[in-house]
Order: sequence, then C-alpha cells, then structure tokens
Amino acid sequence: MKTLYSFVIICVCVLVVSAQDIYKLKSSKINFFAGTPLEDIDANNTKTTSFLNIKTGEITISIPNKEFVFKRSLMQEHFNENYMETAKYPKSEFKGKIKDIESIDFTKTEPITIVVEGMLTVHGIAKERSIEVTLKNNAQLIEGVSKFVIPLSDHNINRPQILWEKIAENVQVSATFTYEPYKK
Amino acid sequence: MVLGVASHAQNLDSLMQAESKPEKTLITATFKGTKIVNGHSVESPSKGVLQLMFLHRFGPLNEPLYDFLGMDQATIRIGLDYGITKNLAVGVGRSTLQKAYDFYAKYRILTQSKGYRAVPVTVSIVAATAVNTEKKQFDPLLTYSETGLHRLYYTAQLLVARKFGESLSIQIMPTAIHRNLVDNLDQSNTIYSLGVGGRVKLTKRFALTGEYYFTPENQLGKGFYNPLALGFDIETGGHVFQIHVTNTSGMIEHHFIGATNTDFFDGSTSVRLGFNFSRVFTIVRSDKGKNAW
Repeated sequence: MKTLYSFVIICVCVLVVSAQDIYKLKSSKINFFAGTPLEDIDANNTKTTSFLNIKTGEITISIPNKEFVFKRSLMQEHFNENYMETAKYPKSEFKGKIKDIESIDFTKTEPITIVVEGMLTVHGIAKERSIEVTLKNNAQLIEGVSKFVIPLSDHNINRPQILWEKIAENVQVSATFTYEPYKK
Repeated sequence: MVLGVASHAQNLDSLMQAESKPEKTLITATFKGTKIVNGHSVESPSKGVLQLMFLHRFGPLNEPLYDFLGMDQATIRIGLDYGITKNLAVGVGRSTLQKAYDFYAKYRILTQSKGYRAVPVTVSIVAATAVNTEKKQFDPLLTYSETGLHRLYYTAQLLVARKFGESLSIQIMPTAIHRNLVDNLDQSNTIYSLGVGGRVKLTKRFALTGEYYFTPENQLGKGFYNPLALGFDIETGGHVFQIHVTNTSGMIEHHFIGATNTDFFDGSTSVRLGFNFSRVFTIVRSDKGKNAW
C-alpha cells in the first residue's frame, strides 16, 4: 500500500512539474532580409506559434508564411506566389532540442548562449540546422534572440535569372521569441 | 519520471494542434493585371500603389509588312491607377479614340478565401465614366444641337472571379453601359453585356489569357460585333506585359463593348495585335511592415 501511495504521489508530482516545464510563446518577431544594394527586400512576421519544454529541451515552432509583411505589397505578392509558394507550403516549421539542456539554469538572469538543434522545414524541404540563441530570463519569461543565415538554395527557392542582382543568395534571419509558462 | 518525460514528446505536438485557431486564408493574385485584356479584372493596385499603364492596339494584320504589323494605325490609352485603400482604387485614362478621357472607381466587396468561413469568389464593382472630347464636325443634317452631355458615357460592372487552384482563374462580368448619344437609330442607348474572362497560369511568370463580351446584336446595332481577345501575360518584377490579338481597337468599355466594328472571325482584316504594359510605384509604404519590428 505504501508503495502504491508513493507511486501516486510521484506521478502527481511529475504531472505538476511537467505543467510548469512547458512554456508557450508569448510574443515573437521574425525578420528576414534578402536584399541587395539594389533592392530592399525585408519582411516581418509576428504570428508564430511555439512551445518549449525546459525539462527535455524540446521545442516546436510553426510560422504561417502568409503573415510575412513587406513594405512593398507587390514584393509580398511575389514572395507568396513565386518564391515561398504559400498556397502549397503554408507553414515553415522547426522541431528540435536545446543542446545540453541539463546544464542550463533557467532561473539565472544573466544572458547565456545555447545551441538549438533540429529540423527546419521551409518550402517543403527539411534541413538539419544548429542555431545559436542568446537566452535572457527575467520574471518567469524566457527570451531568446538569434541571428542566422539560410541559403535560398537549401530550400529549393529559385531566383529567376533576370532578378538575380536584386535578391540575395543568402537570407539573413533574425528572431526574438519570448516565452511564458503555459497555463491551460 | 521517465514516463513523464516520454509523454512530453507527444505533448508539444498536441499542444500546437490545440492552439491552432481556425484559420482563414485569403486567396490573392487571381489575375496578374488590373485588366484581363481590354476590361477590368477583380484586381486593383494595393493601397498606396500607383500604377502607370500603357495600352496599345495596332491596326489590322492584313498588310503586315506594309503597315509593320499594324503599328501605323495604333491607338493608345495611357492610364494611371491608384489604390486608396486595400479594396478601393481609382483611375484615370486618356485614349486616342474620340480623344476620350475616362475615370473609374473599383471597389472589392468580397475576397475569395479558404478555411474557416470560406468565401468562394472575389467580387469587385466598377463605376466608370468617359467623355468624348473630339472637336465637333459641322453637320448640316443635324436636327438637334449637341451639348456636352451628349458626349458622356457611363459604365457599371460587377466582376465575379474565382481562382481554381494556382493555375486557373475564371471571371464573369455582367456590364451595363449607357451612352447619352448614339450614332445610329438601331443602336440602344443602354446596352447590357455579359463578359467572360480567364487565365491559365503555365509558369510562375507566364499565363495565357482570354476575354469575351457578349452583347445582343439588337442593342449593338448593325455593323458592330462582340470583342474577343486572346493573349498572354509575362511578369517581370514590377512590370506586367500583356500581349494579345483582338478585334477591337478600344480600351475603355463603351469602345470595346459598344463600338467594335470588325468581326474577330473575319480574319486578318479585323484581328490586330495589342499590348498592355504596366509599372507600379509604391507611393505609401505599408505601415504594418514598418512598425512591426
């Protein structure tokens, strides 16, 4: 009987702890820049959804591609129609894990650098990526800031020859994600 | 604990699913241009975008070498279109035919969407007016005195379009045109026409287009025909080139619907080359894009 009680108590503890382990994305900004001196191609997206488990380090991110907002509406149309093909590929996704999660102390407030490894799926093509993120934690919130580069060719996004000089070969991505504890 | 951890793997995915709200995706870019060929498409310039458009219709192709494919009898319309809001656009144009000035407003009432509360079609309405500014010829047989009002034309159009997948778009356009003055007794002042247009996208930047307006013969009068146009669109960055063959030399509604005087199927004496060329300029940049970061 004693063992059964302790088992139940452990189970309850696990459930309680796991609820606090899960963090939900509170606010986010993703910016990409694919411009060259000739053309300023840059867009923002604030409509991402993501969950993070700080116990296991697991992270899933889903980005609605149609929500990238450009300064020029025609660029946005071209992005959706010709490059990202958002009707065919509505979402970009990332599924991965934070490396060495055991050694990360989420209670500390000093910025730390972590590495997130996983699969990034853009334009229907999944690529293994390892992304450096700077973490800042304060008052229950976890904020991650990252900058990285994605070559368009990795995701089979073709640049038409006539526009080659206008669109960069490599897209610079910067992202700021703020997570809060997930409450049902 | 191991069990607890193992269950997280599914957890995040199921949480993502639970969080995803019913989404509505707007279907955009039903047509590449604001015109299918001669007439309006449901598309307008985006908010804050100015579009400059050159339209040319050459002469008939019956003496291609002598007339240089009809270029010697080219008619032109130069137009400016501007997107005031996301759904409202206005435009002004000047045609060589009748030295006509035309003005229009186009408003998108519905936008096709899929997903949550899907809308099957995109619907726009167009109200247009045109004025003939050609100098009056003295006509001793004229039994009335012509006033400025006699030179006005009005058009109302309902445009209903649907994009079937990525490659096929179809549009129907019931149209009413009122002409304050017509030349012949057998022409109706008000004509009702039904247009059908479409686009087949072959690659990301190349599409075939077609457009036809049917107006009953008894309204058009003798010697006037329904306009048919077949062509293709080429898109390069901020430009759209539309090249086509058609039997009309008009580029505003009361010209190509009401006053096309050759039959497409007469062959080379009626069919002519035409092209539309547009360039867009972003006058006001999207605020959303600016402030989001």
